[in-house]
Amino acid sequence: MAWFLARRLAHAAALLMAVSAGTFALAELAPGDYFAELRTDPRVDAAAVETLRARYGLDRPPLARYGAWMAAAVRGDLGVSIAYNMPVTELLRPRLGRTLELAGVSWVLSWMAALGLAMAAAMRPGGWVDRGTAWLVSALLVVPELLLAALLVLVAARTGVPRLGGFSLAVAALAPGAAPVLLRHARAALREAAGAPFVEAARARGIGGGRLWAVYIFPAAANPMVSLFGLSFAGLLSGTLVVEAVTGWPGVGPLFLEAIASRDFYVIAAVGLVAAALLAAGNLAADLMLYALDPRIRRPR
Amino acid sequence: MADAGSLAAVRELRVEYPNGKSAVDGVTFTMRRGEVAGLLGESGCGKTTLALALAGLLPREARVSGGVEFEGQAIGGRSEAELRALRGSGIGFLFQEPLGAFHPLLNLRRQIIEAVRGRVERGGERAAAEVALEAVGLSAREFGRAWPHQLSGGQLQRAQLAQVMAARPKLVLADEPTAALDAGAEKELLDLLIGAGRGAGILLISHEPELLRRWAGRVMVMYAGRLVESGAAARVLDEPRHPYTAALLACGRPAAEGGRLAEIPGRAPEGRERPVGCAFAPRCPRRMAVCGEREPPAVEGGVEVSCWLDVA
Ligand SMILES: Nc1ncnc2c1ncn2[C@@H]1O[C@H](COP(=O)(O)OP(=O)(O)OP(=O)(O)O)[C@@H](O)[C@H]1O
Ligand SMILES: [Mg+2]
Repeated sequence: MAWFLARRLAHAAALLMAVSAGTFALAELAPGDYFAELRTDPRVDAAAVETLRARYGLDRPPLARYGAWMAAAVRGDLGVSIAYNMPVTELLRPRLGRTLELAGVSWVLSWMAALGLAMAAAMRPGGWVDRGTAWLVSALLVVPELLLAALLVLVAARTGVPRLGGFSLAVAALAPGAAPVLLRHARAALREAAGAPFVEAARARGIGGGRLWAVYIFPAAANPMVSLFGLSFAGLLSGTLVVEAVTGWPGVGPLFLEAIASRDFYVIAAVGLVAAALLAAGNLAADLMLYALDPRIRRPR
Repeated sequence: MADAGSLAAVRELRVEYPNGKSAVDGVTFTMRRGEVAGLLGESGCGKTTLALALAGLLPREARVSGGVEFEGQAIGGRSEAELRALRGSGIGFLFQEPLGAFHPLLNLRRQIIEAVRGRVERGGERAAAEVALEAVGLSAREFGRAWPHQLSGGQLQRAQLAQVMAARPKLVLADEPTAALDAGAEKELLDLLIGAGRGAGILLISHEPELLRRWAGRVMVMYAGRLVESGAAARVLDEPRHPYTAALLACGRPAAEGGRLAEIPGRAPEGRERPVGCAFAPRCPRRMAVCGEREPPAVEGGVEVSCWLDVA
C-alpha cells in the first residue's frame, strides 16, 4: 500500500510540475505584458512603465521568475494580480469555491443520469431505452456546451424565467454536455462485462436477474469507469470556463478569460497550477478507488 | 422417457449458429443416473455446443431443433426462472478455462456462496461453501478469502468443482476440465470429480481417448456434429469399429517409426460445406463407393456404429 501510494503521489507531483510549467511557458510566450498598452501611450513616461514592470518582477528572465514563483507557490503564495492589485490566492479563493460547486453538481448529475440510463440500456440491448439513449447521445455530442449555454440563456431571457439564475443555467448547459460520453462508456463497459466468460459461468450456476447484475456485472464494469471519474471532472472544469462567462456565474472562468485578455500574468499561471492540482487529485482519487476495488492491483500474486 | 434410470435425453438435436454452421447435427443419446459417459472428438466437432444445449445455455441466436430432456421434462419449454432453478442444483457445468469461470473481483468463498444461495438452507450458505472447498482439498481458511488470480490452474479447477458440487447437481457437464492442466493436476481433479460426483451422472468431454479409457464407463465418439460410434469405453477404445475412432486412437500413439504422432489426413468439414454421404468419407482410409452417396444409419447412444462398413 505504501509503495503504491508513493508511486501515485510521485506521479501526481510530476503531472503538477509539468502542467504548471506548461501554463507558465504559454503565458510567457504570449506577446506583450500587462503594461504593453501603457508603453505605446505617449503621455506615459517609459521609465515609469519600467518601474511598474520591475515592481511585479516582469523585468526578470522567465526562468528566474518561474523559480521564484514556484518557490512561493509551495508556501501558498501564488503572486499578485496586477489588474486587481491583490494577492492571487485571495482573488481566486471565492471564485474557485463557486466553480467547484458548479462543476461538482454537474458532475454528480451527469454521472447519475449516465449510469441510470446506461444500466437500463445495457440490460436490454436493442430495446427502446437503448435506441433512445443512443439517439440522444449522438444528438448531444454534436452540440457544443457553449452553444447550449447560449441557447439556454436566450430561452431564459425570452421566456422571462427570472428565478432560473446563472447557476441552474450553467448546470443545465454543463451536465448534458458531459453525460453523453459517460453514458456511452458506461454502456460499453456494462455490455462488455455482461458478455464476460465469468458471467456465462455464473448463469450456468443458476445465478440470474438482479443478482447477476448487482453482484457480477456492475462491479466488473465499475472498474473501467473509475478511471473516467477524474477525467470527466477535469473535462467539466474546463467546460465551466466558457459556460460561466456566458451564463454570468462568477467563478474562475470569467476571471481567467479577463486575465488572458489583459495578460495578468500571475493569475494565468495560478489558474493553470490549480487546474493541474485538481486534475492530479482526481487521478489520485481514481487510483485509490481502483486499488480498493481490484484485488489484482491490491494483491498481485 | 419411461425409463426410471434415465436422467437426461437428447433426441435428434440440431444446433445451427447464425453463421450457418451446423455445430450439432442430429444427435441422440440418453444419460443414466450416476453413470460417467465420455464424449470424444476433435476440436470443433460440437462437444461444447452439445453440452451448452443440455444446460439450456446456448446463445439466443443459435437455432435449435430436436429435443433435450432432463428428468423427463423438456429443457426447451422451460421459462428463464425454471431454467435458473434447474441450473446448479439440476445440472452443473464445469468449464474448460480455469480463470474464465471466476469473477476477478470476488473471493472464492463469496462465489461459492452465490452459487448455493437458495439451494441450501438459509444461513447455511457460508458453511456449505467452506465444506465444499475442504472437500476438494482447498483449506477454507487459506483459500476462502483468496481471489482467483492468486490460485494455480489446478487449484482453480478444484475450486470450480467445489462450486459446482456445492449445489448438489444430478448431472455434471464437464467440458474438457483438465485441458489446461498437467498430468498430476488432471488426475487429482478427475479423481475428485468422479469421487465427489458419486450419484451424479457425469458427461466427461475430452479429445483424449486415454483420459476417457481411464475415467468413463461409456464413450460416445463425435465427428462433425454427429455421433459416429458409442458403447462401453473398453469396447470402443480397444476394438474401434468406426474408422474415425480408429484414426483418433492411432493419433494418440507414437507411429512406428521415429516416435512421431500420427495425424488424421485432411480436416473435418467446416461451415456449410457438409459432404454428401458420410462426413468422414473424404478422410477415410477405408471408404467405399456408397460412403460418398448416402449417409450411414444414425447412432443411438447404445453400442452402435454409424458406418457403412458395419452395415455390410
Ligand atoms: N457462438 C458461436 N457462433 C458461431 N459459431 C460457433 C459458436 N460457437 C461455436 N461455433 C462453431 O461451432 C463448431 C462447434 O464448436 P464447439 O465449441 O461446440 O466445438 P468443440 O468440440 O467444443 O471444440 P473444442 O474442442 O475446440 O472445444 C465450431 O466450428 C465452432 O467454430
Ligand atoms: Mg469445446
